Amino acid sequence: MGAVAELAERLRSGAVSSRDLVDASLLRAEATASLNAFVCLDPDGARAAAAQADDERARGIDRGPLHGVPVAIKDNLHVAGLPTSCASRILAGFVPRADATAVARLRAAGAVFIGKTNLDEFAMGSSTEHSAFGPVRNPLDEERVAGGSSGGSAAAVAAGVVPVALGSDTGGSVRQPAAFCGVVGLRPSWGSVSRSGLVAFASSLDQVGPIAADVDSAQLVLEVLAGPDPADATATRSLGPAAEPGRIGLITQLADAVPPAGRSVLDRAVAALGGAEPVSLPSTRFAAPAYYVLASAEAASNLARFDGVRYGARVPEDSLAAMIRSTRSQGFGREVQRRILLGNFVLSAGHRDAYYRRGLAARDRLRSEFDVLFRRVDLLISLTAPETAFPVGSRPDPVAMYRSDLLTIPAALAGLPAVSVPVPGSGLPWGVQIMGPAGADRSVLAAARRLEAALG
Amino acid sequence: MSYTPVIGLEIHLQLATATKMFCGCSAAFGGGANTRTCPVCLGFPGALPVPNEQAVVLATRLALALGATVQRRSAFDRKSYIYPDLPKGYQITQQVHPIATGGAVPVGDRAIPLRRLHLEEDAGKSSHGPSSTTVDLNRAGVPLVELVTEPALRSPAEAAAFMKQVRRIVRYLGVSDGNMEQGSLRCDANV
Amino acid sequence: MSSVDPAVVARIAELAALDVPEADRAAITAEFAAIVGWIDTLAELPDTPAPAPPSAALALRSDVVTNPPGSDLLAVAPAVTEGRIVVPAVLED
Repeated sequence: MGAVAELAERLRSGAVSSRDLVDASLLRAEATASLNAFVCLDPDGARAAAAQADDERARGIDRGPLHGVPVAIKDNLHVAGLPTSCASRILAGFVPRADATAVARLRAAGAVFIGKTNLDEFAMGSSTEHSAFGPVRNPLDEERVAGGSSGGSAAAVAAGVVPVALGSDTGGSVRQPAAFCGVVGLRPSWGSVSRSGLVAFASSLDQVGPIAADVDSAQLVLEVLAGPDPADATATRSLGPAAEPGRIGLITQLADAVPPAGRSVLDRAVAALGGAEPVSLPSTRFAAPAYYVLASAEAASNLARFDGVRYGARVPEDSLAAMIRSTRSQGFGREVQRRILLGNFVLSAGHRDAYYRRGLAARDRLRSEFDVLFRRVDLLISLTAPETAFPVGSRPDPVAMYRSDLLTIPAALAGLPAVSVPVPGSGLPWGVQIMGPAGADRSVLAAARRLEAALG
Repeated sequence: MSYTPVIGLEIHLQLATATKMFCGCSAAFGGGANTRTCPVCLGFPGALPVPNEQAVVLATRLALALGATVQRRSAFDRKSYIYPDLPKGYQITQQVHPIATGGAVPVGDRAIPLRRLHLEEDAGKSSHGPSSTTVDLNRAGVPLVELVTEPALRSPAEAAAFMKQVRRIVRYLGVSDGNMEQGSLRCDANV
Repeated sequence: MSSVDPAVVARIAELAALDVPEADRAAITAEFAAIVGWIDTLAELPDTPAPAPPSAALALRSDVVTNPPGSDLLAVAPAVTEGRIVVPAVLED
């Protein structure tokens, strides 16, 4: 039984109240404050919601397994009445009036929000070192990063503050921090969970996903989140049923990119699942460069709205152009500015064909290659990251950081569901990634559950 | 030596829909400043555009009436520039795959050929003062059809006749009220 | 493949509405050049035709007013006068 299901049982039996759970959660958040996992906590709101959940339960209302369970939300997803910062100074003072759809669905299921978690600014990063509010530290070793960009959510789950948290995954931002922190992270099929109320980074790549203590809990959250939404015209991908265990393919290009320590973890996982056949994804070497071209181009466009005109921190100047430039230059951090510059560059006349169009072509190739693979096998396996959590401050070179996303990027470019399952060991945890065709999230999770059981 | 003018027109029509192109705000003219707005047309973070079905219907109706070829698949693009009445920093338009191509508008005994017809959203209104500019976003997001002619008009008189005809057609079809005073029918000329 | 010099960075910064302070210019240019050098891997791909329209259709919305009159703006706008957003003058520089 997963952590959420266990809590649900204890709540239903009356062994514990939602107030108890929320108090414990807030205490734990306080005790682990050095992790810097939270941008803000909402003790009053959480206690009020917990009281309401207990009250409803006493009146015989049961909203499901999440009813009265404390949950944390990445601070690029709107929670009504709480500020949304995206870990950026430029959004100072922005308080949304409505929940993001994913958040609203959790709220309707009775979840209690204890606070907003820290992230790389505007979800751009792989370590949560690019937050305006300081880095998030790994609960397993505070000298190391929690991964990114959903580092706060992963740390909050790994530290036992909450059993589940919402994150967002654009190139690996749910899966990689989950791997680094030793928890489960799911990236659902693109288009299966509404992005309304998620502050857009790269629209064709962004997806909201759960980070959880175990696969069962992650699945529980997916079932609440998934489904069409009138507020998101692209949320049209339906999820298929879980298929019987089938054939698994091991992508050789991804396997070859990891050091021996990681390779032996991957081999263990493959053995635990009953074996995998080697398969090829020839365009792998274009994946990370293509991702950074496309994601930066979309980010440059999505972040054009941050100009100090209608919301956020405005830097006063005499002319409009100067005001916009100063507002953005002082409000955005270094990494965000880097990506906006790169995005404008690859879209500019004279470079658009060389970079942006080729990025699209690389993406098309990867999609076709995955289609071919999924005619031979049902699922694909790889590691989630080519490494375990690295020390804070040890990777200042942007290109080195970008390269390290190579294992999570292909599934993101192709819109495929992918889950990271932690492999416990003597040292820092590794994550193993299972991917499936679009819509096969339940099959991917079924395999993940088998792996978790076999390794646990 | 005499020159024959060669004129192409770009016409913007506000569609006669109840709501804006990408959100459920009223598309009606006027109203207190910024009262017909929401997170989508204000360009708030996290807001997503959802296309208005009736705008697609009206654009298709007009395209068919003008003998244009309606594309079964068309797509939206972003046209990026920075201006205070453009909330997202880009306008959602149809650059690469417009909803219709070709067609013609009968003017006198000629059929003025069209290049394309596409959907896009309107910008808000800026009022410029000496030291500040104020912005009303009620109009931001109102659905527009843009009609682009081939450079086939030969005189200002013919261009004026063309505009009158377009106005007649769109009003008859119920596609737009074609009201130039209120800005629901606008024209740019390339000479 | 592409040369990235301070002039290129300055032009892109203008498109991006970002300031690149004089003191940071060399460092940012070098960093940018390194990133562009890395994405040049894509040069191995052949020239491509214009992309086809996306295959997944968007869900459309029926034309019914759902947003009541009023404004979300007032709670968050930095400067509003009589309901209108105020910004510094648009000076052509």
